[in-house]
Amino acid sequence: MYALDGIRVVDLSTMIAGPFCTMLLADMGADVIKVEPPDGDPWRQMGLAFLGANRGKRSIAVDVRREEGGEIFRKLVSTSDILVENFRPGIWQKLGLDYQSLCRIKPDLIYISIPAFGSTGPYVMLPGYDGLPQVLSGQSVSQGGIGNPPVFLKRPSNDYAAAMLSAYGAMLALYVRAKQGKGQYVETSIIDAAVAMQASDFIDYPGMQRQFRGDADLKGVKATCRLYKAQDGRWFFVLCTNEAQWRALAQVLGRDDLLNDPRFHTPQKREENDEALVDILANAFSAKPAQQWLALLEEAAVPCAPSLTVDEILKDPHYLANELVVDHDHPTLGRVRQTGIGPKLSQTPGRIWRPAPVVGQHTNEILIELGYSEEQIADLRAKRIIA
Amino acid sequence: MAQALEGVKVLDLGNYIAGPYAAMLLGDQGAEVIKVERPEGDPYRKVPGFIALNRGKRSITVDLKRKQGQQIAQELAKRGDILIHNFRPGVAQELGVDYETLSRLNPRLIYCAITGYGEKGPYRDKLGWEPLVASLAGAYTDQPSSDGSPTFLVLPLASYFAAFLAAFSSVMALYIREITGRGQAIEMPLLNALTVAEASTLVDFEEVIRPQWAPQGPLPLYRLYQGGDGQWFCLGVGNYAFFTKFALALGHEEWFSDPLFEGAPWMILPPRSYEVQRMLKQIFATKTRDEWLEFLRSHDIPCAPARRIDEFLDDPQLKINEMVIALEDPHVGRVRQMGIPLKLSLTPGKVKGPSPLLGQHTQEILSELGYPPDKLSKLREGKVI
Repeated sequence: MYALDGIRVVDLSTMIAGPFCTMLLADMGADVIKVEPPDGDPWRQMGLAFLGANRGKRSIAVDVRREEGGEIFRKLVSTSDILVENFRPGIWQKLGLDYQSLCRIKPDLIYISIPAFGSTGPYVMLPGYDGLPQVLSGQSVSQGGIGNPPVFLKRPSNDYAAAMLSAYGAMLALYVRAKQGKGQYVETSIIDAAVAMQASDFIDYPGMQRQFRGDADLKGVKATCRLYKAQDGRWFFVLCTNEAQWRALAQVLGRDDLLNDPRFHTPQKREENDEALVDILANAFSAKPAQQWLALLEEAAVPCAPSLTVDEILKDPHYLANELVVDHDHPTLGRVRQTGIGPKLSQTPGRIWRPAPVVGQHTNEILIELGYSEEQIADLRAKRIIA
Repeated sequence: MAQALEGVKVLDLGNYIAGPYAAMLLGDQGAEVIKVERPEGDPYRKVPGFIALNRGKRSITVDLKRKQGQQIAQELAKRGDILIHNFRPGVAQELGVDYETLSRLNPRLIYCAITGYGEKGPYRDKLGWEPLVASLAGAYTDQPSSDGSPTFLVLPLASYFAAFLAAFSSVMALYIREITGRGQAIEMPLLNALTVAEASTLVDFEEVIRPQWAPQGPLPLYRLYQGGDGQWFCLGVGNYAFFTKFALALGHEEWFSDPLFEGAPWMILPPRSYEVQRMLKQIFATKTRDEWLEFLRSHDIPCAPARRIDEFLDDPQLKINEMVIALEDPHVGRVRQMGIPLKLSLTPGKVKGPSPLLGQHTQEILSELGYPPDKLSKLREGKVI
């Protein structure tokens, strides 16, 4: 049994926030139908980014802006439980495909909206990508540090956060619907998600001292919580959470003298002389290759971890053992390796049902399910309403 | 039903960020959250962020290393719907709050364990703290410094993502419990959360191309630039339609046929990207940042100023989205903090109140469990509570 067995999701979304949200639902058993324009979701150009957020879905290519296309879409909605979209507000009203209109067709519809900035207010008509909420929200400045150039974060975290929060919203609404039979409109935005991604720092009270410790070349918090470079050029993280671990670290490095060094013999002293300690440790770590250090540190019970690259992760035995990276076959690309399922549920585990679809791969199949005849389908195809 | 999780009882045995944050997300949607703390309290209480992640909860202090303390936790679990913890593997067993024990007492319990690395594999027993998880999840390597070395990230991404996915999974289990009548165990490792939150990069097939990153972004049409006044902003030309608007707005129609811009906006690769970047730097140096923002916005081109988080707190859009709220904290006064990042039309969220003081509700909660006053004072004398 899968948690979302029998739940159908119509997915009008593009890029990451919407598609990743519906992928989380697909992995848990929902029948996700990706509704794309006949020439495909523009995000398909992104290749791997598209594959990473669209597996497990079926694709129907239909021009919802044309009347017969809109009709197909409304039929689809009448058989669905959840709808997900992430466009600027107002677009769907024009087409009569907004929450109010669709509720008339499907009164208990759960409508998930993920605009970039919200649905009313000064920014809502501005186009938005993760980069914008990232710089607006202070994340780039926090990473770069005050007085330095801000740092552009590669990972679109706010998009992922918005996806996860909307998946949470979808579950809340589904639970409410199971209890009282009513659907509802659920909204989060990328900018709201940018707040949620900084919840601990997003506070302010009289006299609060805010610390900005960022830097473009930031390597850690302090000498005993930091990335270090080994002789072979590979980086790894070392983290001492107590005095025993600090003593063990000094011993591993053959630097017992540091324990009695007046600059470093208490946590407070080490903090005061952090730069000097970083220099000493960085110098010591440059004497052996990373694998050797990691083995020695592990043995001495000093918490440590290699700083892996994407390519290493994709081959890492731990990831494979936990099915955190998995392989499957794609119709045109062959074997595709990608991330597995994050949450592990004991009774209703997730499953990867199929690779990301090619454009319109399931158009016929879905239209037949909706009761269209072969003839009607051929006609719609000739008119380029579907593809 | 005014709120989605009305009547749902959550036990928050978490410390630091991921567990408490997940429980708070449930609390904001109507769940009744009891924070079960060790006598010395959640270590995160020392950090201002504690205030932001524990609002609306009631706090009970219980020493789970003692039998009587474990009994109290088990009695709470008997009446609870969702339990969230982020202990290291094996600790829940030692404290008598493992799934096997508790599901026997309450088969309807949803038990969400936020671990570091999952049940199997070589990293299983590693310390599950943010920087080690982030290191292993490639988050630092993936954000190269100017010399290509990994960069330590200031945001605890793994903990936040784990909190979101724990809330998602717990309510999914609640939904399925409506159908099956049974609870279940959920494991939500931080490593998994951070890994799936890079699903669009962690893909591998034969022809995969991985572009090089740079601290201010590698793509000339989607990166950080400075205005003539030295202020930074993000140019976000994210599709061809925006590229068209951008070129026309700047009066550079020739860019449409210029081989330099072939593949715009995403596929202008080195060495062409350096040349485009150089051109744009020169153009943007001719006006101040704010002049450019006004100009770009008037042409519907995505852009945004780089701001500090304290400036972000005053953002007018956040006010409209109700993303900044103020709560009175007994120690520090009025605290502005995050609102509820999820708006539900039928069952809206609501912030119940500030973060509790350590053990603020111990007596109240134990009385609800039926402990008489004399037993309470005995437990207190024995330092169980």
